[in-house]
Amino acid sequence: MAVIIKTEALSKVYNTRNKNTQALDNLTLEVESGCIFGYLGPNGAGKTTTINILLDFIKPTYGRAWIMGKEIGDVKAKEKIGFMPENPYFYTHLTSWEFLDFFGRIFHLDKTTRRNRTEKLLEMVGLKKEQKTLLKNFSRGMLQRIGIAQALINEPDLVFLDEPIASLDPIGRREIRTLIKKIKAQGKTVFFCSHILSDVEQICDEVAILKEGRLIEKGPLNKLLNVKEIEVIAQGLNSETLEAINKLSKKTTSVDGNWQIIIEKEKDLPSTLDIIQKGGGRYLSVVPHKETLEELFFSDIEKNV
Amino acid sequence: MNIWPIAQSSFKESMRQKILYVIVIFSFITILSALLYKTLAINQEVKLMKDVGLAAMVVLGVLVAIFTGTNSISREIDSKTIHTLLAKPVKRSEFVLGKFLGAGLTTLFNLAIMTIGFLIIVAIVEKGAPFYLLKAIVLTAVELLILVSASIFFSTIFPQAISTIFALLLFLVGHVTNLLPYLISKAETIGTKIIASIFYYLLPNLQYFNLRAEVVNNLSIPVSLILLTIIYGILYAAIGVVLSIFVIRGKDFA
Repeated sequence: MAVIIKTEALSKVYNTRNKNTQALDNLTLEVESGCIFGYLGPNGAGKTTTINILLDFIKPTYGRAWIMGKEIGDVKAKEKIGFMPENPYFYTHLTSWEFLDFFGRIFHLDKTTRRNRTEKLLEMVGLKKEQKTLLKNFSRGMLQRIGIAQALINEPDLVFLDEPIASLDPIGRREIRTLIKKIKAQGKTVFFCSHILSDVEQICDEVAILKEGRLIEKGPLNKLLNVKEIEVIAQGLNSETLEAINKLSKKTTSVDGNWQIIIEKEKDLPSTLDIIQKGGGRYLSVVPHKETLEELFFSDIEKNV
Repeated sequence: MNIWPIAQSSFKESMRQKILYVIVIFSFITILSALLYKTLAINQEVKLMKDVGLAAMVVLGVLVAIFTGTNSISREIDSKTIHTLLAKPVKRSEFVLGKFLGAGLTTLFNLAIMTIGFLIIVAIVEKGAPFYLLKAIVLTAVELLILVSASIFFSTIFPQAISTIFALLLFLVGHVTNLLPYLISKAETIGTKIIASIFYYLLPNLQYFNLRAEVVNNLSIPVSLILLTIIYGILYAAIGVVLSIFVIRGKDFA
């Protein structure tokens, strides 16, 4: 996989009223193309600052960054980028159709392409009926949808979504998650900034966790989330076998005539299965339970206090 | 180049603000009210109407120029709509030029509406086409473009309210720069001399754009003088735009 975003010691210090605030501290990061990259962190961790630097809204104090191999701020690279801001403040004097058409013109799309894409995107984000409605009459959820639509008007290779589902209801959130997966299925990369960990866990391939401007965790989600316990369901266990199992397991409970055995350490699994079989019992299922992203997130944040 | 789509959007935004219609309607009322001055200036009512009409167009044009100028960029920054735009392949210089063009078009469009209304009223009263008045109006248009450019420049540095005050001050001081050499010669402190000299050499002399008395009295005005004044005005407007680009290029939009 090619690297689509790369940063080297990227740092930002804000100087306000003679007080220096380190918003981003030596961020070195690589994002591979074709994935949904979750960018997490508590408020003030530096997530939006990173996006602001990558999109050239603000200059880094030091460090460098590249998007698609081009130095940040390169207008050519921006032709292949989509962006949806955290707060969807848009041109409220325009209708949703005019709004998408305007950005289509910014990308120099011809009239037919603009019309086709505008129609398709309004349909996709469920705003077809509101195409003549002024954005000032949109709810926050509708603004987020039109925000996603404008981010896709140029069919970008890389899409930055800053809290794209924060204000949506559960149905809207599911729709947007499906949409983000569709974007990925088209071979595009999504840089997904969110506070909603369950959403990140459901759709992201890789995550990075930021705290006080520093990167504290990064990697593929399936590798980062450790197995916290293994559940074995077995039957036909006699008292001797149960006694031996209890020495290895965290908990053994009788459930509907079967035994639910919870093992904490992965290395104890073969011994447990061996004891079951030798004792004349049999195991029906073995299910590893991984920690959730929320558990990983809080454990990382606490470790780095 | 993305200047034109930005200018069009900016123009559309301004035209959808009701305040501009209020200003235009108010200007017509002011021009028409001049017809009631008959009792004040017997046999001079037409001249008085032209004086009042042209002056009203300047005052209301200045309000439109400063309002749209200061509003166009500061609104983008305050509402953070600039983020969505700058994430696209838009150079910061294109952004400023588009905003200037949009605010300029809005100002000139409003002036054009007032001009058409004014010329129709004068034509009815004078029973003839008063195109000679256009000389004064063209110079007013250039003066307004300077104010748009200056308003945009101020708004790249200051909040809108402060930018508006500075732009209004520029308009007022720009019309009295003729008096500054006298002030410099009479100044008692070196500080006053320096400040007055800076104003005299840096600020545009907006009085050059005021040929209203000559036009209303049908005095001959050389075309070369009008052309030179237009060039002078365009240069000042361009300086404002270039300075705005310079500021915006170095600015962080957090």
